[in-house]
Amino acid sequence: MLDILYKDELSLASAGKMSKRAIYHLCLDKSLQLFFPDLKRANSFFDVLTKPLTRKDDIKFRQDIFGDFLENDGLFTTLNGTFERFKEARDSHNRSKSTAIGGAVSSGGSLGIVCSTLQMNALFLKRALLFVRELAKVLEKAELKSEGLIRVRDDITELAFNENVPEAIRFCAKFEGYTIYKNTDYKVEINSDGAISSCSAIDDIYVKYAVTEAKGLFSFFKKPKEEEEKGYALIPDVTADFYSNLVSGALSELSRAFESWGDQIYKKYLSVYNQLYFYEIGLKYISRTNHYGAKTVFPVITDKKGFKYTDLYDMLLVFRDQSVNRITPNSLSVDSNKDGVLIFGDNGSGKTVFLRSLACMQVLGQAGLPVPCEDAEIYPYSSIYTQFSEGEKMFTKGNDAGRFEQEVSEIAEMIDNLTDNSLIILNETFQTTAYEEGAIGLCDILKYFTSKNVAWILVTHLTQMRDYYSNNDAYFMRTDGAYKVVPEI
Amino acid sequence: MSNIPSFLGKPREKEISYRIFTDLQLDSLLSPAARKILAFPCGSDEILRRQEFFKLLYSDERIFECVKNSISALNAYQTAFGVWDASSVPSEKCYLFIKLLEEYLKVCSALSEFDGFGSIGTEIADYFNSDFMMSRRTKMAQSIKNAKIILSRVSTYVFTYGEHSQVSKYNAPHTHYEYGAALFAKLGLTTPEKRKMNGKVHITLSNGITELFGNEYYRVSALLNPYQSINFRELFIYVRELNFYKEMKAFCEKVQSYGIPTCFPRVSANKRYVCRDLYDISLIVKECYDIVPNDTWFDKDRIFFFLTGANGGGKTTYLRSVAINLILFLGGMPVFARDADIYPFSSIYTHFPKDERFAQTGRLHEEMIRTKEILGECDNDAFILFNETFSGTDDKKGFELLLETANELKERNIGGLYVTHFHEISDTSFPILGVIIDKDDENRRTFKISLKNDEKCSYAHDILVKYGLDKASLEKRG
Repeated sequence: MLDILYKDELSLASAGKMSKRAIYHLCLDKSLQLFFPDLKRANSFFDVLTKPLTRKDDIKFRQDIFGDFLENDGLFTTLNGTFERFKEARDSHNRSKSTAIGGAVSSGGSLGIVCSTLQMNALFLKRALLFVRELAKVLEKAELKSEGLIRVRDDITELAFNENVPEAIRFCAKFEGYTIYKNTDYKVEINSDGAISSCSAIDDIYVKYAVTEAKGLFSFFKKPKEEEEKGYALIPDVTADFYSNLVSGALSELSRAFESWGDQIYKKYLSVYNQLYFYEIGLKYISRTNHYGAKTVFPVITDKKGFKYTDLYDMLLVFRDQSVNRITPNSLSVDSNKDGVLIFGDNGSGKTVFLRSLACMQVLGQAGLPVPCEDAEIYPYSSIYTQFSEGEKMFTKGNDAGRFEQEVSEIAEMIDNLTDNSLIILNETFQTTAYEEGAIGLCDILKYFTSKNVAWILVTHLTQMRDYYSNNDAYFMRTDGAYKVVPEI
Repeated sequence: MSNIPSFLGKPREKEISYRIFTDLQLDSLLSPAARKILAFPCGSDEILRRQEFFKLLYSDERIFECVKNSISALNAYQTAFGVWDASSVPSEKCYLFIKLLEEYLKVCSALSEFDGFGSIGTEIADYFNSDFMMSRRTKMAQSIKNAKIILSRVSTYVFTYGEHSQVSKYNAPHTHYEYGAALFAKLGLTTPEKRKMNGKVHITLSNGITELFGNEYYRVSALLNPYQSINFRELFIYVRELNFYKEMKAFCEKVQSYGIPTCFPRVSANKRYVCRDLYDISLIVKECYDIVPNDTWFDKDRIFFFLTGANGGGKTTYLRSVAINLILFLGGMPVFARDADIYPFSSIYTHFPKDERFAQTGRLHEEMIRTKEILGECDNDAFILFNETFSGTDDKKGFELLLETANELKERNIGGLYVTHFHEISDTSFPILGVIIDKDDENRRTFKISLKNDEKCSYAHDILVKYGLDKASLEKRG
């Protein structure tokens, strides 16, 4: 199957995990909602985000495709438009078939249905072949550099310019106008039960027809009996029902073959169309972010753990304000020498915005999308987990836990599924209990994360954390009162 | 009249009533076909013949394979026969006849594999391996082969519909379908496998084909003509017979899986029904698997017993265990007991209370009529089981009728069991069985049945009988 989201079979298999809840925590749904034409596409887009890529080449694969779309002006629009027309042709084909069946049923003719379906399937296959040619031309015009789009172009070109395509188109055209009144010769095969096992239409040029004698002046003279076999026998009493059943079988099979050939082409390239939405949303996001004054860059993928970026914006704020003028970007440069990052600060000082922008950068970056900053380096974590302080969950059967217990249970589930080299984003976790107790518990958990080679970032009001962690163990950061996050001295 | 040998031999002609099977819950355990066979009790020779075959079926996996293969071949044969018989189109009938002959040969071959499997197996195999059958089988196989070669040449033709519909010989290089498949394969596209049609050939079309290929069809008919006189239906009997053995084997194995033993009873020359640990397998219908077994003591001197005791103590269960296992024994099947020695009674009758839905008469009257009918119908070698008969009246009248019946049974030396609440029976000379109650344990029902002490018979003897060590049993063992 042609794929423009994943480089190879291992790409998806090696992708990490991120819960759908993280999308909610990071407000990605809210930030990007403008770009989703429908809920289905939104879900598909987020589905891709929840499988963060972990291999450098896989991320680059998508970055390069974005690069081709950005560098070839109009390529995405033309390509997408061509696919849309093909899909519309397919939908129209399906609608016509339903209408034809409905019409034929009401007029009581099953042979009529079969014949109309054959015509329509032949027509759609012809259109599919013409679509492939059009698509090939679009892709051939572009200067492609990405492996993904080159792969699609090569595949399409191979089919589009196959020397047999003109004959295939002619063959389809022949059956577009197929009618049971003109074409009436069928090869019939008998099985070991003496029943008809197969019936197939053939060209009449291969058939020897009975010679019917015209009644004339000398018709009373009988022709002498031929010695050799005639090669045919007349069957005068064939009923229309028998003919109809037999021919329906023959044409159904041919029609099914046309349908299958058309389906194979449609499904093969539909997979590309179904993945284009990801780039469509990505391109809209880039365009709008740039329009609001924020630069977007493809992060450099590094082997070193940590976070390094300059002037990163929070997407939610950018799209809310539709400008970056009143938004303070943040920069960070921390490596993996310490266990994690602890961020303190007053209420409303920008801690959560900082955490969210960092986490969004990580998620978008690992999805092959650009991020709103001057420059960035990211390490591809195997999985991304978030735990944000929330309200009480729904009162449902089996859920009798309070807020603190809910948090504990979420962390427990996280730990059950934890993989090496994961990243955990925590926002005001365990503040739903006595702070001292919350801090002690949380420290133990954070140390467990460290022992499992898991990176973490925590935004917290639990100042008691300072009693259990020192500057040597974790990066201590705080907000400075002007929405900047700076190292705590 | 068929002369082919049978797996079931010849049973007696007297049929056990279907109602008896429902009284005993056997209709829930066995298929109607098996019930129908068990409804005809066998004499000692046929019982021994079937027992021998069934023992082999149990012990030798090869024979069971033969049974399964034969059933499978017979099913295909029956289907082939049905399709051929129903066809009225000459060209189709020709093909179907070949198919029928092929299936016939498969059945003959499967049945000839029974050689060496007891007297039944040998008899069957001898017939199908006889010179006559072997000659027929060889010739038939050759005819089939030749006919198929001829027909393979005429199985494809062209049908043209129109003002002058016709069939003609096929000379085209390809069909549209084949051409399309080859063309689109060059584009890397696959073509779905063509679905097989199974369309009937119209009679007119058949006439056209036989005219077009007249010579070929004539030669085929000449090859097949000699086999038209075979009585194809006579082999159908084996479907029922072999399925019976297969079902009974599965049935016994299922019961055994609940820890219940089976044994092949010795066939007694004298009237007797002596078993050790006899089970009422009808309890399985109620999903009761912890079944308490009991012994039976019917012999020459005590061929009829009364059974009394507390309600819910297991009287009816005991009665059912006696009746069900007797039916199985008379059908040549194993019984559910550790050991058994049984006389081949001529038939079985049961008298169970019916629902009170009689239009004209009351319960007592209906019971009297039924009793009379049974006693009128049965011969002196029958075995009759009464379940609380004549309880639908006052003590005196009921007891009188009970005694009247019992005396007739005694006089005619008919075997049987009579479950009753008339305790006055203890004062008579009839042998009596009782239900054991554990009085030290709040009258707990043990579901055990025993000979009543007040019967004044030797306890030691009963024990000897139970283990087959009484004089009669020892003589029989030799």
